[in-house]
Amino acid sequence: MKRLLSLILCLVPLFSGCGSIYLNYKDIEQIKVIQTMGLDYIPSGVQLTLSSASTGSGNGEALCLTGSGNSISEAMEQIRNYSYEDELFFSHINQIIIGEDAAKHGIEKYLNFICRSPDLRIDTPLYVVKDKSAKETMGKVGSKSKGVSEILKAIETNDKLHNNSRVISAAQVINNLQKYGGTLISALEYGEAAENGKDKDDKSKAPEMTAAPAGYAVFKGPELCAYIDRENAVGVDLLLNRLGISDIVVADNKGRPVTLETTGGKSQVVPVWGENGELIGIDVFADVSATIVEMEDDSTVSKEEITDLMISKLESEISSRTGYVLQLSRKLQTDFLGLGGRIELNSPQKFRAMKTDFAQILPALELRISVSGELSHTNDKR
Amino acid sequence: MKSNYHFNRNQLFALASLILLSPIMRLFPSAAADNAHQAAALSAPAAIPVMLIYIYFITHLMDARHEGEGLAELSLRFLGEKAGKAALFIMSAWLLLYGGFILRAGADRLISTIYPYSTPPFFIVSMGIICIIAALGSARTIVRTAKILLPFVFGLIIFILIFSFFSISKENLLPITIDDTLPVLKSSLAAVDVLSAIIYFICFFAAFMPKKEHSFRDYSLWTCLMVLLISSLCIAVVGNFGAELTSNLVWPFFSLVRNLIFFNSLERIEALAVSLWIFPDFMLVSMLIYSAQHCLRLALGENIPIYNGEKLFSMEKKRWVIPLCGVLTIICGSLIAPSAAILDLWSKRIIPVINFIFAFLFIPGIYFYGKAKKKL
Repeated sequence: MKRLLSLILCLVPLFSGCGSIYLNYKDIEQIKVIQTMGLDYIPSGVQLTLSSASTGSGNGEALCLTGSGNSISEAMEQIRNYSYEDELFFSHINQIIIGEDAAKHGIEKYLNFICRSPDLRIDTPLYVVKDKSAKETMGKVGSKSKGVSEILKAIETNDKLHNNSRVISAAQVINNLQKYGGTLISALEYGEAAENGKDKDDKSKAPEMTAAPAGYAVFKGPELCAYIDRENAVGVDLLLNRLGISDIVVADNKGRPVTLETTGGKSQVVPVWGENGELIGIDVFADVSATIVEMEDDSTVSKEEITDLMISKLESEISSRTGYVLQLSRKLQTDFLGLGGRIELNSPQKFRAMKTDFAQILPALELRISVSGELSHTNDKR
Repeated sequence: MKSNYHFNRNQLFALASLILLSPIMRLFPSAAADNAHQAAALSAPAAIPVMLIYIYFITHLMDARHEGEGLAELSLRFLGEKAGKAALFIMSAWLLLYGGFILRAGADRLISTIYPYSTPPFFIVSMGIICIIAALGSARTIVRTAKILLPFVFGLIIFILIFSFFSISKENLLPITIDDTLPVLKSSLAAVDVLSAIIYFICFFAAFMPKKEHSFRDYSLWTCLMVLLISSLCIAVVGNFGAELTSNLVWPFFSLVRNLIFFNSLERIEALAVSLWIFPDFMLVSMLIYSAQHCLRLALGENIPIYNGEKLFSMEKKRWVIPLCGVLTIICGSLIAPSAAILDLWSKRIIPVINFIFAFLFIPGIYFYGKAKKKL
């Protein structure tokens, strides 16, 4: 036995190091780390776009590869076969962009792929790009030093800092679709980058493009059916209890713009039950706090009057945005806000005893929104 | 202090804790979420009353053992020569079948999580061979190896659980109402299945331990700790993924590990976690082969030395049965489930049913027969 063990120990060095009989080693330089995956619909199946980060590529430029096939795997295979890169590494895909067309045709197969793939993480953030394909967006946004992966990473970081994260992962989407029959996915829009400022008048130079957050894409089942713009996304954030920092511009008593910045807020969804135990309405109670960050001084109006006016404007604006989102949910007959879950949490037995699906009775429900605003800080000049 | 005995009860519970990880990862978060939805974490605690009754019974049975007797020797003494030998053959057949199933399920876990381009035979055969070598050794080696490995595996689990608790959503775990009672009780059957199997498996090793009082208390305490572990796993997985998604994933715990980022710098450690799970499989299959050969050799009339070890590669005293048992386990593992769908059927239906019959009919049958014959 000791001899056998000694022999095994002697053989161990043969299995270690790069020059050993172990053939599956790869130098890090040979590996292209893919960070962003784009999915587009084409009539014959899927168009797949893969992008690395600029820093992860040998020449400092983001790598962008495209392939198509009947399925994502086939498109991946095509990219592998037709690319001159040594090794594509998919385990660090951090963002998935879905083209608008693909989102309209249904994202079920993409979600299934994410669930089944041993490479992808199930909590990878998803984005839907508004009016564009993922391929176009991924190919055109960014500069030499910053590709789509860096841009999306920056969006994610800013979003976490300011909005308590509007980023929605594949796992959340799958769960929402199964639980509520609808979901939200963060939306992106394609536009000129702010970095163009200095070369704006130089017609010979093509403007640099970027992807920017654009609220939410609304899904009824696996299909995209609407968008909620950035302004109304505040309503979603409040209803989902993750309202962060958002600017709301209102008018003062003379019609001049005043910028209020929300600093936090929370909402409570209270079901209203009828005599026979049926759900007849929903009361939404919301508390919002904000600060005044920008306004013109007016010595004719007292501080109390300004504060009262701004609070009422804040309440009205928040109420309108929340109302818009709730009305959209009613109109689409989709519980993309997960209101059913909150009502179930509030009155589990009554909710489970309901004979009709919550999404179906949504249009008939009476909605009441009550917003209570607070100005936590006015940043006044002395 | 030198002892005639191979190991003590704490060491045996270390083995039990380690081998439990193999079946709970296969069954637990997803099967419990499938039945009990948000209340999945209550499935294991709901199994406690049944388990306490079972532990009371099994400790009562094991209290009747003489020095140097395990479940196999006890069965032979209770049932008499002919029926006892027949029972030992049945026991060894079941242990080998279960061992084969564990090899096949372990191979599936490795393929689904880190080696998608592999096939089961490589993992089944290589693991089977290692387990044969372990079974050729002594029970003491198996138990002490488990004692050494336990802190590594449990350390990793606790590390993962702590990090996963930060991202739990309470909406995924609530509400829980009285209406959840039946689904929770239904899903608790999986916990009863797994815990009862481990408890009677370790009874085969009781022969190598001194007789000790208060075994009911020790077994109950161990069961409660394991229930806590299973519940924590359910809370972590269901709290992160939601019951709907959890029930659709085959290995949700490893999907959770894949998602975690530690200290903003360490991620994708699922390969390490899955690899560590080789140890529970290795210990369980080795233990099953060892117990099966022990039963078979007793049935073949061999008087197995308990306190003095046997030479590793010696084939005397019918030790050829050990590699035979190993080969049979490998064959079982290779033939048991040609596809993932059939493996799922074995995992959720066939194995639990056989185990319930064994734990709640076969072993009690031996007990009541022995009692009727006044052999207690």
